[in-house]
Amino acid sequence: MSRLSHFVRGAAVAALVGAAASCAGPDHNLVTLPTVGGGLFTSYVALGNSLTAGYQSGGINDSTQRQSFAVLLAHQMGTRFAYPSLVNPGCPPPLTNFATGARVTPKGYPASTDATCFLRDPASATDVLNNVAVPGANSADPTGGPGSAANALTTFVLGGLTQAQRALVAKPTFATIWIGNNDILAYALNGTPQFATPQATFVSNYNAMMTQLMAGAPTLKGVLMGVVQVALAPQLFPAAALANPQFVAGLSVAVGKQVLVHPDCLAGPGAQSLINIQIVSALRTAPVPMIVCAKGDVPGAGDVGILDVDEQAFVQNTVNGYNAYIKAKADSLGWAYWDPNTVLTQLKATGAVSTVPNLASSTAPFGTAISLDGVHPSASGHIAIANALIQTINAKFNTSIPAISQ
Amino acid sequence: MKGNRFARYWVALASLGIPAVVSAQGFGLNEIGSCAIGRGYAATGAPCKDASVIYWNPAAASTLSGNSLLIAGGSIAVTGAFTRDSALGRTNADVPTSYVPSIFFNHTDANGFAWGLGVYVPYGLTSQWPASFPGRFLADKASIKTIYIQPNFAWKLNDNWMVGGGPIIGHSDVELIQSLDLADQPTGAKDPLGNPIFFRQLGIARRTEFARGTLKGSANAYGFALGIYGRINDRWTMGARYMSALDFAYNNGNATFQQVPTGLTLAANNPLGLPAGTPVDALVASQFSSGALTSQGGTTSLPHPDQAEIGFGYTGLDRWLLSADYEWIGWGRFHQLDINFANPALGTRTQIEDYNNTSAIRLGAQYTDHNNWQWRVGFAGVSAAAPDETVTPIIPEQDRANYTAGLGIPFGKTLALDASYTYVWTPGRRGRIDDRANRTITATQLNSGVYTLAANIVTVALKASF
Repeated sequence: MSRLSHFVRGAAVAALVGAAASCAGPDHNLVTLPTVGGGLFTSYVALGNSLTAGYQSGGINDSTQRQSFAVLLAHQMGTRFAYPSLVNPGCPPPLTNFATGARVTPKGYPASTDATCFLRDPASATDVLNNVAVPGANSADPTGGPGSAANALTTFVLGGLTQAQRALVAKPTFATIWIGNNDILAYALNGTPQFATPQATFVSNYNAMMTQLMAGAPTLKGVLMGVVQVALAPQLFPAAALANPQFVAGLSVAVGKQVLVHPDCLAGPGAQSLINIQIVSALRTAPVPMIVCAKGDVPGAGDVGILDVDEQAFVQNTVNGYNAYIKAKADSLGWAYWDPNTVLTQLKATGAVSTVPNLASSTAPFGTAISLDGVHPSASGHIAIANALIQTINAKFNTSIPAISQ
Repeated sequence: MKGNRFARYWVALASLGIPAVVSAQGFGLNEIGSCAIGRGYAATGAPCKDASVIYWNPAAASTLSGNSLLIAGGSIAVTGAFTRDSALGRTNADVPTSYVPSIFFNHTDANGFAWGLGVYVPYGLTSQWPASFPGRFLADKASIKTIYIQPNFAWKLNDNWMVGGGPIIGHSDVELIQSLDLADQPTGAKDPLGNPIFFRQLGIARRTEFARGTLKGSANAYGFALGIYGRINDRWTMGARYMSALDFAYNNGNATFQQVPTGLTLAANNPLGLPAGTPVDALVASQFSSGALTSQGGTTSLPHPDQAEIGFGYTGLDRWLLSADYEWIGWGRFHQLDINFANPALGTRTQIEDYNNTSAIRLGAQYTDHNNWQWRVGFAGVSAAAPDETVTPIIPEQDRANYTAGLGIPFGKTLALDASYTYVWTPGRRGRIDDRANRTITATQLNSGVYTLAANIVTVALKASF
């Protein structure tokens, strides 16, 4: 800077600062704050599991994390949002091909597997995280209570704190909480929903989380998000699909040998069952690659990976119980409640979420809104979730968060 | 006898200590004497009639007569804060009130030849923040205490013009206390590509304090001061002064480190292959006993920039003295702060400064009433030395406006008391709490909040002429 400009600047300071002398104090308007929400979104935190963390296609990395509905929502709010970036290719790297099981592998890197982990991005480390969601977390995890499902990602995301503790570091004014899916999802997909978190335990866990959050941030507002009805997950397909020879042929290609269909899948109670597409992996190593859709017809078959009618009812009732409590909790706190099943049903109706997987597609077998693992939303799925949340938030809190263009 | 008196003054000066907080540009200080401060520091073209002219314009010592002694002290009370973006909190600075002494003696003979000595503090700094401050990894506390000792000589070139100057012997002490971030420490493990894994890659949050380091050092440096002063006509005077830069090399520094418990433990399936529950503090403990964080030597250097000032005085209004100065300070020589540790594992830590040269406009007025009381007011507008990328907790630099007032009360013909008050106003400025690793990182990327700063300064000077 030239001496002349310094002289001019000094003169300007003398003139302008003198004129500003009547101002009582420093200008706090220099502090960066969001422009939407009138302070409601000053500090937004997202708690949850893989759905919120940005897990897709059986893996997670910075690219998928950026696509999380929470990141999108924060962007629309215009508020700071730091997430625990996992350096590419990821931890584990996401699938890139449904048929081959290939995962993201940068050039020159060793071939990625489901055990590959490249840890947190050292360049983006921060002291204040806004997305504290951890893949695999269940209702006990946000407070680290009994039954929590801590894994390696728990450390990588939270660094020794719980989700609730890490969230409170951000002095949150707004939160989205989407927890509970892992209390039943894996059990239901395995065909063993009886191991789901009992309602009383779920309520206790959830209440502990909310109590801790509200104690640390008494004016906190936000959205409590309901649990997904597992039957809507495209990883489950109806047994009736096995009546379609083309679908069975596709399965056979995926398995690598001719898949046999037990007659109980085509008639009787077994025809009402839902089947986990992951059964393909079991069929690859089975001596006889046969799909059995009802328990008892074939010893040792028809249970694992099969959700029969009774189990479907149990799962539905359990999720309804969870969601009834979550909604009541939201109502009691003056928070919004959002039911994901409405959007999921709509996406199913449009074909964006498949009812029967398209096994001929190696890049979008479960529809455009679901990633290659058949459970987690794809980029467009997250946009749909974010837009639905925006509608809910705007309606509840009289805000004007703009929708995301599709 | 004079020698003993000087020794007593020196002891008194030393016992006061010289901590201060910036009230000029950078870590510069203006609290030298008291009369000049009440006139908005505009005292180079219209010097005060006391021995502090040795600093404000060395040539003007020739305008004095006989012996002049000035003993002054200033108190500086600073309020400051950092407010993080996104409502992440406000931290008030924890700066103790600082006291700045100065002592001047001058003798001018009948021919206008003057000799004297000034001991003053043109540069100093204390910035201090509480233990919870998120920027403590740049500075918990930073302290610079610098004394200039200036023998001075002045003489008249003719009836209207005079020159003066003398060498400067500078002594400076620095202290820097920083927290150390566990997130930046290597774990000893490597990733699948063979690169070292740092704790931050395991999810350890930034600003996880695991140690506190203290660096202390002292240095001497030498320079000079020059001045010219004269009467343009019966109403106008002018003066100019120049004080050279002194570059202090703190080559005898000592660095010590203290471990701070984190209480963190490793989770299961950690990449270090250690059992779940392993204390992180145990993993880094050896660094304090036999590793990089043992006590060791350290060196650094710090430029104290040159100053140039030109000013004019006007006495055309009955009982009024008006003055205006322009000051330039060569802060542009402060490029970076390198801290060199003896242990190669720590190496050299560089803080990029990239200061700019600065300017100040100084305006003052003095009215002498019928009792010879002198009423003073002034204003100084000061541009910041630090660029937008270097607004840090060490010096949250910003443009400043200094509003001053003062009063001089004579006691007989030999004694007088001066007092001044200054309010330092700043507009607030965006700044950072993180290190700037290289010059490609912009202020927009770095700055994460706003520093505010204000100060109330009071000075008192006792003057004697004999």
